[in-house]
Amino acid sequence: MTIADWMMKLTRVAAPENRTEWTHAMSAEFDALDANANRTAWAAGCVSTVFAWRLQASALYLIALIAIPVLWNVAISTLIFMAATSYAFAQPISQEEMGELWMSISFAGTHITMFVFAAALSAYRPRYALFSAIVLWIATTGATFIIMFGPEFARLVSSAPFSTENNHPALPNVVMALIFLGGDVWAVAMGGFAGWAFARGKRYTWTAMAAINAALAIGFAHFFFDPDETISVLSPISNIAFTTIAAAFLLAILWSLYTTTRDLNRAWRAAS
Amino acid sequence: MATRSRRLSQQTIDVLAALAEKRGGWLYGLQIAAATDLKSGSLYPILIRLDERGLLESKWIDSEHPGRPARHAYRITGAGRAALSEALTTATDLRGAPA
Repeated sequence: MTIADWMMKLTRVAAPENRTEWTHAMSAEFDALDANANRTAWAAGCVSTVFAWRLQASALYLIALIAIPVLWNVAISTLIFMAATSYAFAQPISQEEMGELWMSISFAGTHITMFVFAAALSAYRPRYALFSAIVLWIATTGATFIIMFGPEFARLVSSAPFSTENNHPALPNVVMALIFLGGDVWAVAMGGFAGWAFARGKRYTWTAMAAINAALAIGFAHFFFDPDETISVLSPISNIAFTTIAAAFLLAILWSLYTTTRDLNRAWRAAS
Repeated sequence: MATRSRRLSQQTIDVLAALAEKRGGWLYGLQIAAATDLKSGSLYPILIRLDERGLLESKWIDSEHPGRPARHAYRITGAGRAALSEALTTATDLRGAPA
């Protein structure tokens, strides 16, 4: 297969459904080209046309996917910070409690905002729900999380002792890693799932996701601002939730990689 | 009409002119590309726009070579001729206008 043939195959695989006829038209002209014609130039033009169609069709989604993290990093995180500061420091409580209250409001505000953004993007493009969640996470809190906790996360998993009987990593260490990940990713993961469910008309699912998100945000806030010392009751609940969400998120990524590879492979074979 | 009032690019005018020269005949994409010197990446977006605006019509013609796929051919419409004429008149007026 020549480079030109490969590019024409890519053209057929990547073409959006509403441009199938025009893709066939370009492909038929490619087949009609003389052997000494510049087949590579024709094929390159076809590939660029198809990718331009793809970009046009997803322009609004891509702009939102870039704009939301920029907006969040530049303005929204600052607004949350300022709102939390002005509220916490206006309360008639000790300085230590002010700091705890500030932290609780900041974390709750961040995670509720991220849930809303992930839900909105996923409701608009449900097929890209997981992708939206990953991009939003990495471009906002995820990059910091990976830099700060990535090596520790890897160490926890890789150095977990193996059981001689069952030959699997010791559960507590793996769970600890999942709790770390879930504690950072839960808002976008649940937001993405809620948006997908909303677009698919599964109202009980997206309502449940929103309710769990709100409960976790309040629980998270309580984790930091805990004057009545009830944390011993709340933390196992949040740990179970974070572990479940992180495990589901990782499984969803693996499943998505598998299905995408399988579908692309099928489309590539069908384009022959 | 809204479609007429949109100004056509020089490349679009070239495509319409190539089709108009054929006088009601059908042209394949490769023939238009050869006549206008346009690459496939520029030609097909123009053809799609012209088709959507009703300035050309298209049909599939079976290949003369067995085993090869049918080819998409294009012909200018009455609206296309009118748009081309208007575009050429505007271009002439602009060239003749005092600087």
